[in-house]
Amino acid sequence: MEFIISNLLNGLSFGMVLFLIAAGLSIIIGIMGIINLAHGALYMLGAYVGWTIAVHNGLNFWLAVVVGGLAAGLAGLFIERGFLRHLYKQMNEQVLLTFGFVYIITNVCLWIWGGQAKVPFTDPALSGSLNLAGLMYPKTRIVVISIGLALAVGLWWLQDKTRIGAMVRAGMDNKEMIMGLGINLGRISMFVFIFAAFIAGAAGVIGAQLWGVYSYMGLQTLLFALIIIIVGGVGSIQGALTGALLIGVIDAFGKALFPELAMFTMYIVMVVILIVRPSGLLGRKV
Amino acid sequence: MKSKKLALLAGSIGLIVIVAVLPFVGACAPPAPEEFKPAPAPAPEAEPIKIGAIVNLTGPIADMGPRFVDGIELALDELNHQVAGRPIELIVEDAASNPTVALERFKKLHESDGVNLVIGPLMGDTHMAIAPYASEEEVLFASFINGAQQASIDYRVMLQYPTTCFAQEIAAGWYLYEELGYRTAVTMGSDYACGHDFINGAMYGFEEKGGIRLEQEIWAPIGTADFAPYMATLVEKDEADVFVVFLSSGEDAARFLMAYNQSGRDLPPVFELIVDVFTPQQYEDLADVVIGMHAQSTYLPLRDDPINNQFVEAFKAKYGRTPVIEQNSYTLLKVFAEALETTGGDDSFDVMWDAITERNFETPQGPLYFTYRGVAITDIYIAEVQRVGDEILPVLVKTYSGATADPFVPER
Repeated sequence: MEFIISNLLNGLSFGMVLFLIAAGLSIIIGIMGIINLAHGALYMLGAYVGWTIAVHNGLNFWLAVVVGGLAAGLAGLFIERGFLRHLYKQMNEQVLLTFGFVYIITNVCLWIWGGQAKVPFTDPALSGSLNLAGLMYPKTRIVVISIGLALAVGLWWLQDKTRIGAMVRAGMDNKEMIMGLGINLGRISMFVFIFAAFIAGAAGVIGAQLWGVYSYMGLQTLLFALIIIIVGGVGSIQGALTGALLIGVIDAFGKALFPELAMFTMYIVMVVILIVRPSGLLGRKV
Repeated sequence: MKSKKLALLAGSIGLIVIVAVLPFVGACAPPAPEEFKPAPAPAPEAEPIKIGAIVNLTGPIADMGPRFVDGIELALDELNHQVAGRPIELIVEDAASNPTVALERFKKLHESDGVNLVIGPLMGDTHMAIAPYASEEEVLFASFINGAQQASIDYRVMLQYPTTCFAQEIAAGWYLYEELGYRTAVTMGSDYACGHDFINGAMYGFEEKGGIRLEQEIWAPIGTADFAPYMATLVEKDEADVFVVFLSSGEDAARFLMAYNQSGRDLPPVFELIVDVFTPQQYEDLADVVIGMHAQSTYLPLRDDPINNQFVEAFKAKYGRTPVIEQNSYTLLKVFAEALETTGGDDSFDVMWDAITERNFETPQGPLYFTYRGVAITDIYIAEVQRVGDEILPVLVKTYSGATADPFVPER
């Protein structure tokens, strides 16, 4: 029983970090139709900035989360206003451009912070374990699960229960109609892009509690995010959450039960979903 | 539109998988095709001696590349950038943690730059990709930290420094049984050629003395983001005496140790193979998690020896930090330089190979010589990680002199 609960929690915490990465990207693809491959690099940028605040300067961890998010948001603003707004509806060009930004951001991070990886860090109050009915479990992972759940609820509320969310959803369905009604979809898109970049950067600092920070995490996390979106469905917070938790739990049990297949378990899930339900678990049917 | 998005998403994943996975599949790369080789022209007196260095400046083990370059540059400074009366020209290439890229860079160094001596690259699968080409073209190269055993069995072209991955850990297995009194072991290693060799070497020594290797063997992909699930399934202390671990980089090892430490379970104590993967900064960041841990190492900066003390002081003066793996590249450059002095600057393969394998070297790591097949014979050290003054570093506990012979590499 301890084995099951422990791996379930491991899967939930891993899945929540994946959700934090994938949620913003899913919205960007859904509302703006932009395949932003630089999303993982923004996650990495946030993580490095957060490390600078929390470890290098010894400041508050939660301040690091906010500043990491702001740094990524600023980079997102630069990418969207400087480049992507000229490439709407040009998906091939978007893919090439944003993949180029992966290398640019990665190399900028290498120049600033060097190639040496930063070990996982957290708030001093969060180190150690909690006793969950006899099961000792790391506080950091419980915090990651809680933040992920809170953000999922918040994003769901924002997308499904607010006026701005209604405009975003309407934009996903029919851009021309929305613009015809006098809504400035370009401005909404810009704010969505910056908001998604902010979440990615903040997620980088939150995820650094488990993974640390290293120079190739831009590509690694992007790969995770795309798998989540494929599995969960494009443009849906619920889909990103479902996909992330499914992948997280399957990865945890896969590593525990079939460690020799650890490299492939999440890809197997993705392939099965693509065959059975190409639009993703909660995505709209193609 | 949706289907186009999905197609692009799938395409993007394919692109990323290619970029991310290529570093780990290069061992399957076929031998390089035979290519046109221009006849070597006699070198004029003032012509520089070119030495190539292939390091990882990008990719999953990018943290190590600049450190190796630092070691080489210190050695060059001490040589005043000259050997046998000729200037040394160092050409550094980035292997991008990718065997295919490393092979291309190796070819470029030889065919475009005219290099016949190469330090690096890292990673056993990369050595296996390069060895056929290097053997055919007679380009001498040296591993930064060990190499795949098979490369020295099949080819006589690579200097295995400080020895093969397999041989490096045999003494660690002896130590586990004889000194720590462990009788049963479970293992976890990075899932690549040398990762298996390191673990299997340690278990070879352990079983040689009578130890029992339990069935649980974990092979974690390089760059594993989350080690916690492995910790959930590991047998506890009452079922295994020791958990023998090798992870290929400091970042993987750091993530593992954090997960191990936070597991909340009564797990067997960790014995880390190759503690050299950690940087002094990582020791500091891990602090209490690593202090007291036993580990194997081929180089200990705190080992009291005049040559080592001089090297450590010079390195600290130049870079302001304590050297660890930087010693390897420093020593390899010095080995090349000493041999070049003997040959009068002749860097052709046969002359250099004989010059290197027929002499003894005194290095910061300790006494060193190379066998006919190019396997280094050095001392192996067992260390305990301790706080020493302001730093956390591995401290010498036991020395196994000249204990790096590989039982599976033929003498000739």
